[in-house]
Amino acid sequence: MKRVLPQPVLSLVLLISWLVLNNSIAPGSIVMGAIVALIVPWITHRFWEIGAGVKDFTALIGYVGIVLVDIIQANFVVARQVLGANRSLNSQLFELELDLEGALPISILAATITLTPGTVSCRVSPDQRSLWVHALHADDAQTEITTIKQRYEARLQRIFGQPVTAGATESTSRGAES
Amino acid sequence: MIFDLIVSALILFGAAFVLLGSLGLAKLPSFFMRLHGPTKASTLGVGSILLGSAVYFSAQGGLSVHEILILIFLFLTAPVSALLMARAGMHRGLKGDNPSHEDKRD
Repeated sequence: MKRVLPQPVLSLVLLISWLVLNNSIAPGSIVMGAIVALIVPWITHRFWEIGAGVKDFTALIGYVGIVLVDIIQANFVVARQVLGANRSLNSQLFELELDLEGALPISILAATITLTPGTVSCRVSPDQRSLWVHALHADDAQTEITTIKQRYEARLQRIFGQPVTAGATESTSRGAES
Repeated sequence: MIFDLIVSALILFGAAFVLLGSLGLAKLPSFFMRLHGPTKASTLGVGSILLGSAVYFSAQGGLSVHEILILIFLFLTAPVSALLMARAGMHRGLKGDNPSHEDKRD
């Protein structure tokens, strides 16, 4: 089983992507998709870091929802900042200490930061302990860091079954919502 | 008719945000600030246009879901290209602050 399907979730994602790409659930597409879903993980499994698995799927769905809402809000905020007086924007680079561990969770956090309110992640330190972030407009880097840690990092820690360290107070009060 | 309205609204909305993204690219004063335009405004912009396309072709008969896949891949890859550019910027030692008050060399 392990040899045929080294990564069942990846296989499932590939099969679904194939069907979506073909826009059909005809038997032929399913067979082709199944072949892709079997062969691709078999070729690529050496490249994957094993270990960082999603532990809490409901939290993951909640996270995706929050990020989507934030992306839409972020667009309006950035739109206003771009159209307004660029001179008044206080943009800066700051370093965010990471409590999150593992390449996959950190990549997701970095991608989230880039897609959401006025921030772009710039560089992960080689020891994976910190992340450089550029904010288009931030009055205070510390406030920005706290927001990112409480809103995204704490949730990712829960999703990947890591001990939640940052913003424990806020994340418990928001627990019901996610 | 109602579908036409939804599709037009989505595409106009999307086009407006793509325009804003490009405007940000042209207007913002420094390298790091310019990164924000295309990474954000255009994700929602292209997202809306794709959604409009999905609605249009689904209304024509036959569910069309390719666009959702494009959207997912777009959201997966946009941060990667942004990160690569930002890393290159940091490597070259570009400043992250707003240079409006100084000259606009970079």
